[in-house]
Amino acid sequence: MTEREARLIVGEPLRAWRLWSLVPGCPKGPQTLHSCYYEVHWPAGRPMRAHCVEAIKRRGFSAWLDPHSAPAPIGVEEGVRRPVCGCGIYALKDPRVAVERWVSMIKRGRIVVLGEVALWGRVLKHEDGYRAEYAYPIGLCAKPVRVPEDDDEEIASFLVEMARRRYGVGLSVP
Amino acid sequence: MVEIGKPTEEPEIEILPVEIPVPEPAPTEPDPAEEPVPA
Repeated sequence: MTEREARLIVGEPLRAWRLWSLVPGCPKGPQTLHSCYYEVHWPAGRPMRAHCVEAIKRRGFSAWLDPHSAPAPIGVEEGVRRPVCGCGIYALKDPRVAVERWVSMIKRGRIVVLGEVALWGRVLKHEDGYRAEYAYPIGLCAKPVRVPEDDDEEIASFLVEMARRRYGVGLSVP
Repeated sequence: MVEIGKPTEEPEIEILPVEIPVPEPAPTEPDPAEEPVPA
């Protein structure tokens, strides 16, 4: 597949849905949003930026431990530009599909929350969703999708509310 | 990685938002991990 130039659009970011996890024992605070798949957290008050996993592997695995602290922008030139790679911040168009496909991939013992996300920068469209260069949550659903067996649903909902405050976002209703 | 279907035939787009959609988060305890790190 050949590389194509991106079509430039000035306007509103795309809106889509994704899952995040909350880690009750997280040293950064239990209200910190974590990636569903990789051990990275989403920063509050600044955008999440996609990093190229292959580039990080090539440049040293230590950079992977905290991509936010690594000299930026790591591998962005290899980020979402090539359709053959898998880089980018993932989100799905349909919230029900997001839950169906994603929830089982998140480690047990974590609170799982569904929410809306804004996507911008370089974006690749897929049949059911997107891969984007930049993202930030728009809102989180009040009721967690999954609560650890030994955790209280009320406490989990409180942590989701704390996460909304931390990231300065509203309530999402799918 | 979550399944998002095949890439569409639409060309890649680059969205330049008029306003970056990042609200001011609620003040919290300082988090060293959020401090900017010199490149």
